[in-house]
Formats: sequence, C-alpha cells, structure tokens
Amino acid sequence: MELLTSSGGFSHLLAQLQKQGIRGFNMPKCEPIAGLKLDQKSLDGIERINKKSKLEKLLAGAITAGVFNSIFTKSKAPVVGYNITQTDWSLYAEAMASVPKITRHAIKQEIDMLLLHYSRPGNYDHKHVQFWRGIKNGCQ
Amino acid sequence: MAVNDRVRISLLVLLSLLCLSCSAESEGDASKSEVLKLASERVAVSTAKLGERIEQCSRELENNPVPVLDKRRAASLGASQDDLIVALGYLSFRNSFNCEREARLSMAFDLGTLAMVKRYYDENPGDIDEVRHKLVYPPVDQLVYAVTYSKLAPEIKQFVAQAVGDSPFDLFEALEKNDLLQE
Repeated sequence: MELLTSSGGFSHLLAQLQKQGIRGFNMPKCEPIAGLKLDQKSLDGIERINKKSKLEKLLAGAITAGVFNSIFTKSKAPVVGYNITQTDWSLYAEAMASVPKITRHAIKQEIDMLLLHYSRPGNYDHKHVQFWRGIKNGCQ
Repeated sequence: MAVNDRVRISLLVLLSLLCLSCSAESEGDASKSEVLKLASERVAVSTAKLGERIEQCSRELENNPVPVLDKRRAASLGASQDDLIVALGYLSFRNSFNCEREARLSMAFDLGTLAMVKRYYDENPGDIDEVRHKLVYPPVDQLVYAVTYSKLAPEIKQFVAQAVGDSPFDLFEALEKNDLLQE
C-alpha cells in the first residue's frame, strides 16, 4: 500500500486498530492507493480515533482501581491478607471484557461517520473512501 | 397537643439528631472509602452491561434485513441522492443508538457520579469525564446529521423512516443495495 500519510498519527492508528481487532472476517488484499493525501477531516478523525484508543486504558484503569479499592475496603486490616471474593473477580472480569468492546464500537462509529462523509455527492473522494473502507474492513 | 406529648416528641427528635451526629463521627475515613467503592462498583457494573448491550445490538444489526427503498417513490418525492444518504445515515445512527441507549445512559450517569464523588473528597477525578464524553456519548457528527435530517422535506423523511423502521441495520449495505454508493 503506497500512502502519503500524516506523521506518526496514521501508524499509531493502524497499530491501535490492529490491536482492537477491527477487521473483517475475510481479509482481502489491500488495493494500492497511489497519491492519497489525507485531508483535514481525515486527519482530525485519526486524532479522535487515537484518543479513543488511549481512553480504553483509562477506563480499564478506573475499573481496576475500583476493584482494588473494593478489596481494601472490605478487608481493612492488612495483617492477615485480603479476602477477594468470587464476586469481586467476576465483576472485574466482566467489566474488563467489556472495555475493548466499548472502545472498538466507538472507533467504528468514527470510521462510519468518515465513510458517510466521503460517500456524499458533494464530498465524494474515491481515495479517501478506499482508505477508510480498507481501515474498516481490514485488509492485508 | 398536650404538653407531655410535645416534650416526648421533642425528646425523640433530639435523640435522632444526636444519633445521626454519633454515626457521622464514628465513620471517618471508612465512609469515604465505602462511598468511592460503591461509585466504582457501579461503573464496573454499567461498563459490563454496556459491553453486553453493544454485542446484542450488533447481532441484531447483522440479522436484520437491509432496508430497500422504492426508487420510483423516491423519484416522485424529488429525493436527491444526498437526501437519501443523509436520511439513511441519520436513521442508522439513531436506531443503533436507541438500541444501546439505556445502557449508555446508565454508564454516563455512573461515570459522572464517580467523578463527582472524587471531587467531593478532593481526589483527582483524572480523565473520567473524557472517557464519558468520548466512549459513551455519540460523536458530534451524529448530531450534525440529526440537524441535517430535520431539514429534509417531511415526506422524504417519512418515506425513508417507514422503510427503515426502528431496528439497527447495516448502513453501508443499505447504501450499496439502494445504489447510493459511487464507485
């Protein structure tokens, strides 16, 4: 894929999306896009998507801190050790499993908005459509 | 009211107030921890529920048939390609959001509560508000589409809304199936 990319932001985006597993079941080959210059709308979109990826860690952190807070509160005295109930673990596991789903969905929404923008007659841009479709559907 | 009754009631009120102040004095730091714990647990619960709901709505989206618009009817209403794209786009976002709405509202409320509680106890809420704004609320562009949709002719809105219904659907499959995507 030959792309003219923004500095850093695009590479980070790709890395984050790969990590998120935002890809289709079938991975078609990426069609080369020659001479793509991402416009400001796309660059802003990349920045928002990167921010959302980072927020996943913050949400996970808030949940982790909450669970640890819960453990410390229940068992107060550090002498014997902490009692971690099944409920603590279950709630933690369920919440942590949901964090990437929520982030992935938020990123998908951003991509859909961009694809919709470039699909409209007044804004139509074939290269940008190809680019964001490739990001959304995943390709190799 | 008899004087004895008044005295009795006053004593009861006084005792209640004393008890309240007693319990407040005995809580101290433990109360702050317990409140933070409760607020955090609520966030964990609503996070789990939102994740689950997103999955359910995604499954619904995949299983729902893609809406097909009557081209002749669209033409007779004078609906342009852009009108139909805007309408399908807005209704797709609306239906998906409505499917997840309750779970999103709960999570937004619980995150807001946690941030509020942290500030109340002079703790740094960190980026809780940003998490809420960027991961739970819809993107601003969705509201832009809502405004653009509202300006479409009523008959066009009614035509597309009736064809689409209230359930989540795949927007880009719908655009493709209705020949609204340029290649």
